[in-house]
Amino acid sequence: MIRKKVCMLGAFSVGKTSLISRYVKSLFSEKYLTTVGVKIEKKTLELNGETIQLMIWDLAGEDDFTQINMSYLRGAAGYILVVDPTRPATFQVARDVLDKVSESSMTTPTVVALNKADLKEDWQVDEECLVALRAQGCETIETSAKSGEGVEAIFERLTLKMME
Amino acid sequence: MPTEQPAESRLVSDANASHDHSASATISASQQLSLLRQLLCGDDYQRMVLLSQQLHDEQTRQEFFAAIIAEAIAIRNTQDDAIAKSLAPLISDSMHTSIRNDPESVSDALYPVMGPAIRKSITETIQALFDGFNKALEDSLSLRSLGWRVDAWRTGKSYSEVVFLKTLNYRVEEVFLIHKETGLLVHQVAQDLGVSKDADMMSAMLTAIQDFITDSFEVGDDERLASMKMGSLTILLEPGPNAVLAVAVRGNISSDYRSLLVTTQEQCHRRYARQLREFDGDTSSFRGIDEVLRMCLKEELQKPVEKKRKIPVYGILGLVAVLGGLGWLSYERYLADQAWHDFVARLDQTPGLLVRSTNNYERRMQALKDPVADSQTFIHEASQKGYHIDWQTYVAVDDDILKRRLTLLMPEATALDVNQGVVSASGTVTAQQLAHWQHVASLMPGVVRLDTDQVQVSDGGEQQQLLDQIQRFQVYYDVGQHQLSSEGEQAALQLFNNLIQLANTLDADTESLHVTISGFSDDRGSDRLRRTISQQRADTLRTFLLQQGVPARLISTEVGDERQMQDVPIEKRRVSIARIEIKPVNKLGALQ
Repeated sequence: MIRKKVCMLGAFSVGKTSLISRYVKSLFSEKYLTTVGVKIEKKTLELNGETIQLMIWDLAGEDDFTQINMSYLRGAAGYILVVDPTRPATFQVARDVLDKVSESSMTTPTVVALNKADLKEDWQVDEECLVALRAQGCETIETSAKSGEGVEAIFERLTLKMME
Repeated sequence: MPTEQPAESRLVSDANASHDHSASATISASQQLSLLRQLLCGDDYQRMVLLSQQLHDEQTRQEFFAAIIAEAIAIRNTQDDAIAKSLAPLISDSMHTSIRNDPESVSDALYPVMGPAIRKSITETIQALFDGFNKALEDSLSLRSLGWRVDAWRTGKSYSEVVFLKTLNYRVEEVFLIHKETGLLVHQVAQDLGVSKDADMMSAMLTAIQDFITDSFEVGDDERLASMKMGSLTILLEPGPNAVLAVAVRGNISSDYRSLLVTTQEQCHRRYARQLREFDGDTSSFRGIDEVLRMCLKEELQKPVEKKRKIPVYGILGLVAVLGGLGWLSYERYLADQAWHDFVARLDQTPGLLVRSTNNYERRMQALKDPVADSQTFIHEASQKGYHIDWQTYVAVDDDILKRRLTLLMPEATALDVNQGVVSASGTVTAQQLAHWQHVASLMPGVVRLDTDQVQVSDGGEQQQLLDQIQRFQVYYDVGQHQLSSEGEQAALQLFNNLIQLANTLDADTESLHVTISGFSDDRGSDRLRRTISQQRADTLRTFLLQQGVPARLISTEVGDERQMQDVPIEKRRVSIARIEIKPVNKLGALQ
């Protein structure tokens, strides 16, 4: 079995924890997010005949008052960068976060989750940021923690990229 | 004569000559180089050439190492365990392959080993089962177990868990090897089911917490979280360059356990240095890590408090003293019993004395005593030994007592013999004495017949002899004593006998006998003391005569006049004497 560390990144309240909750059955309380700043979940999946265990680090969202603890990113095999298109500002946060993590590792596979796809009519996509993100090698996948749309797909996609 | 060559031919010839000369020079240079080598290196050059050939020849190399490899391994094995550690995975793989390919031959090869091993294992398991059963019985029936049950009820834990916690010093429940950078679990071993709900998530969260603490506090780069404690559970962390060794321990870990962690951590990094350094989440390359981590799964039960087996010196001494005391008391009691029974037996066998009943516990007896029997010895012994004798007077009919009693009644000049109640008398008496004696003897119990054939009858002078004898009578005492000694008793009996005989010489109708006993003492002590003891001596003699049957009215006592003893040696002054008065009125009839 192969184990991989995956970090969930993004602005505050973009739906990182909800996406994980949709994907795995949580063991730890969410209070860890506000205390330690991270909550860890586990998901085992079969991909191309290989058993892979994802250790998903759900990091507290970044905003003006909370910065990502870069120590938590150490050794990550992939990132899921979550954006809430109903809040255009979260695109910029995503860009900033990506810039930060790129400083330490340029090659870490990253997938951008355009979350809250169930509220697509309210989306205000920051195309410029989106282009910039894609330019940095990030795939984008539309997801919805509410409906489950794209949730498994984004983790599988990231896993594939990590296994390449 | 030389012929001249054409120019062209000479040129070719020169060229050829030049070529030959050049070739000759080339060989010469090679030879010279060889010669130079020979000069510089001598025979070593040839050896170097040979060595070079050997180094590049595979077969030679194999033969070279084959000759020394066994000894080399043996030498290295004595220095450290690196060879064993290096060979272990290879041997393990080889065995796996061998067993997989040909299990039967391996099974046959192991058969002689496996049989005894299995039997030993079964024996040990059964022994452990019995030990456990015994311990469970012991624990379930003791006060301690009752306390544990109360604890279990109070804390809501199972009884077995409480027993486990109470009897354990520490137990390493789980061991984790966590990749330092990713926080991913490399390997985990546990006792039974372990304590963590999910080892993978625990490893990751533990890493996060370490990072959190490191980032939250200003600590040095080489300072890492070493332990965490909650209740009885302790997490010990031993960081290494690429991995963190974490163990979950219940109880109080011993101080030397940390060094085991360090050793294990070093071993992990030595054996799996490359795998840890290049770890990408694939744990399959950590073959054999399980055995390494299992070395950390230790547990230590509380050693039963062994009470030091001291020799209970004081206890033994006390016991010996008590037993000795009891033995001594028993022996003393035995001796006392023996003395008592001997006393009773002797008294009972003495003529004129008879034991009626005894109380052995109180050393008390009721006894009968004939007045003429020899009882003084027993009275004296009883007073010394604390015996109590309740005397009652009786008349004995033993030959000896009869003889003694009749002798008292007979004049001194006569002799008596009593045999089974037949009394034979001999000697000289007055007719009056003989008649009186025959009368008295015939009334005396126990007398079967009187034989007086050997008695000669005389007529006078006897009274004065008796008076003279009585006048000479003296009983001496020891210093401070007023009791009669044996000799004193004999003398007193003789006095009694003389008095009886004297009475027999009197005419009972006209004459009366009165005895005054005077007691004396030496000049020691105060006047009062001397008078007292003098009076006691006189009283003792009077009492004796009364016991023999002399009527009290005929005997009086007095303190003797010391002036009578002025010329007497001091040891002769402790004396009682008797003075006789024959009065015309009183009678001695009461004597009979």
